[in-house]
Amino acid sequence: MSKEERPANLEPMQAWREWFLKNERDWSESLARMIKTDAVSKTLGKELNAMLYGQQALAKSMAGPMAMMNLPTRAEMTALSDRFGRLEDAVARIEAALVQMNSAAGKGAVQPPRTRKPARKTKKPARRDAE
Amino acid sequence: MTLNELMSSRSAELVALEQEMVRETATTPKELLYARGTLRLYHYLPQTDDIYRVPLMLVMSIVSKPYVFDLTHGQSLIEYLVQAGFDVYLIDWGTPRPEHSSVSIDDYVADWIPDCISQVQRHSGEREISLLGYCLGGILTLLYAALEPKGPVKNLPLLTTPINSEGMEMQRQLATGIDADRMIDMLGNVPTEVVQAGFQIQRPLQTTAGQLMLMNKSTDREFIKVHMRLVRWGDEALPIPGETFRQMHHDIFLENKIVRGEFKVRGRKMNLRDIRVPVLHVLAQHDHVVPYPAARDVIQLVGSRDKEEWVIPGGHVSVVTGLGAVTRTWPRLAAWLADRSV
Repeated sequence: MSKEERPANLEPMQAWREWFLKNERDWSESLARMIKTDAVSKTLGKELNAMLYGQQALAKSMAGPMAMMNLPTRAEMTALSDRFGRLEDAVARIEAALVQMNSAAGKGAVQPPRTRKPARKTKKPARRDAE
Repeated sequence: MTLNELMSSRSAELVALEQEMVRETATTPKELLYARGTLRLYHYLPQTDDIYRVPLMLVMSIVSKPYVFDLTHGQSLIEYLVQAGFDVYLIDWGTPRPEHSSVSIDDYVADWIPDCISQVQRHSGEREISLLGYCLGGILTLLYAALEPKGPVKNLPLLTTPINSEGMEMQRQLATGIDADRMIDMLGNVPTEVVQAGFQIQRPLQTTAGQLMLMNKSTDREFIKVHMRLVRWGDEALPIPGETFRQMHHDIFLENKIVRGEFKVRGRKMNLRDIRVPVLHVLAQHDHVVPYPAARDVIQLVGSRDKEEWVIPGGHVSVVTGLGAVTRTWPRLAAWLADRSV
């Protein structure tokens, strides 16, 4: 018996999945209500700060060892990514300039006339009085 | 077939499916009109014999990639609008780098949006323009329209745009616990991981539910591709420039300055009452990212006479993808815009 021919009641996991999906919105809303409290938002804020300081401390402590191993730091990789980004921006400016030059020379995409009107709304026929 | 061979062949199938999914994403033909820093302004090539007079520029949120507007053929708001005869442009903000940590909301609203508008005006030959903003992009377009009430904005359709932080309880509560100044001073930009965590915490079990749904439909190739597309988009959240986040944290989440008319752009207080152009605001009924109480004040506060609010079934992305969007929301949006784009 192929999977497609197997009746649904032989797949208990499918029933569980459907039950989950049916209730997911309500459960998400309940969880969201629990999260929407001062205590949780303050805790999340503290966790975020701790993570930021931890990340900063780790970056500082790793800078030396990574230089010794001749490995780039995150800052160096980010700077490289920024240079690629600026190169892409320059290429985009050139592309846009070429499009505009083509357009000025009459070789660009043809612009249709700006004469379009909305479709006329058909008037509903008047109701006949009951005879 | 051994278990290892089975797992390798399944994983090879998934990789092939993923590559197919990526190839099919953002396929509506376009040209790059303008580039400035990481910003890209695209123009979508017309597909009709004539187009509406007023061009339409889509402004995406700064934390997500804009290809959600052009997910795939048949599920693309941009494709739909282009085929309906609109002249469509898109601002892609790009991915901010550490050097962009000083970029603030003022830069988006008072510099980059007007710069893109002038590019669209020059390209289209039209002075007037419709701006469509999605989520945080809607905040930027609202602030621009308030900054330049006599400017070139002709229409302002908005999708799920939050302006009242009292309606965003989760975000506001988290903002009270976070020391944004310390985070920005240490990191520069708010990292992608923090942005993603911020989204996930609003519906903690959604990722698990998505994976279980995938298991239920493991033989449905198209379903898996749709799922992968949206998961990929959600995973590709963008970092937020430091100063932008500082303003969001202090001025929007904690002090709720937009609804109070006290949010400043280039030193000027922005009052939404100054907006008089037609405004449409489309909201989603079960949007856990932008709950209704966070967004309903848009229509109440703008000074426009021609203003409407639609609340559609679904969640945050249901305005830009899904069967309901294609069959109901987009046709209504196109009809609303068409009447106001001649």
